[in-house]
Amino acid sequence: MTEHEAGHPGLQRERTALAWNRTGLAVVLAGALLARPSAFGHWETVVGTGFMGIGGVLLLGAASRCRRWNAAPADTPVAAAPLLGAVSALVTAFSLIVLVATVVWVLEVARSGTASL
Amino acid sequence: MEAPSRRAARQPLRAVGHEPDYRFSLANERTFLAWIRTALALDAAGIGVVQLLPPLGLPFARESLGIALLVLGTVVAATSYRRWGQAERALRTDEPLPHPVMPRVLAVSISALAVAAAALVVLGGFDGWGR
Repeated sequence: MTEHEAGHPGLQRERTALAWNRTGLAVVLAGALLARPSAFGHWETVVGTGFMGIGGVLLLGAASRCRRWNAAPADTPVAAAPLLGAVSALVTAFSLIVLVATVVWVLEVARSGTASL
Repeated sequence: MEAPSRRAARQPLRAVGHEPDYRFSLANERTFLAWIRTALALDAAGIGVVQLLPPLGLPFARESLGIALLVLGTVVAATSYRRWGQAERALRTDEPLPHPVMPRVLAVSISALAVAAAALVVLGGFDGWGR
């Protein structure tokens, strides 16, 4: 820890804010990939679009947190546990929905024997 | 040793130990976010393999690859918060950081999937895009 870094602790916050931005963009991209028209049906457009909206909320939330940080002293405690838990739960739910839907779709195709997978 | 740490694991994070250096908390938060992005990348790969790849020649090869990626994505997303909490607890109690197993699990699984995908392309008579 040099004097220079000690005088500019905002870099930590900036890197964290950028990590939130990347994550928000990744959420939007994953939602967009699911929302595009595909073999599954229509549900995935709803889930995908909803997930894109969640990604947008993350981006806005990261921006407002960054603004609050900039107004607060450098060593203000960081309390983000509920937020991180919510993000983890949302991404887990997204993964599970896509996983279950894919398995159900594959089983249906296998039973009907229509498409050549 | 075992009993106190287990008791500590039931306390809310805020009540454990002392407030760590905010830089460590932020680094831990960024690591959590990197895991979340890893889970999202695995999900995106799974969706892409199932929906965008042409059939791989062998029955259900494409779907099996995609489902394996989605399982990995689900596991990574579900364990990421727990990993963050364990690291935060260690930071608050000045204990050594835990050694998570997920990096090894991911490395082995993704390597195995890559080898399987390569084998399927070669053995399954992959005949090009959209033909």
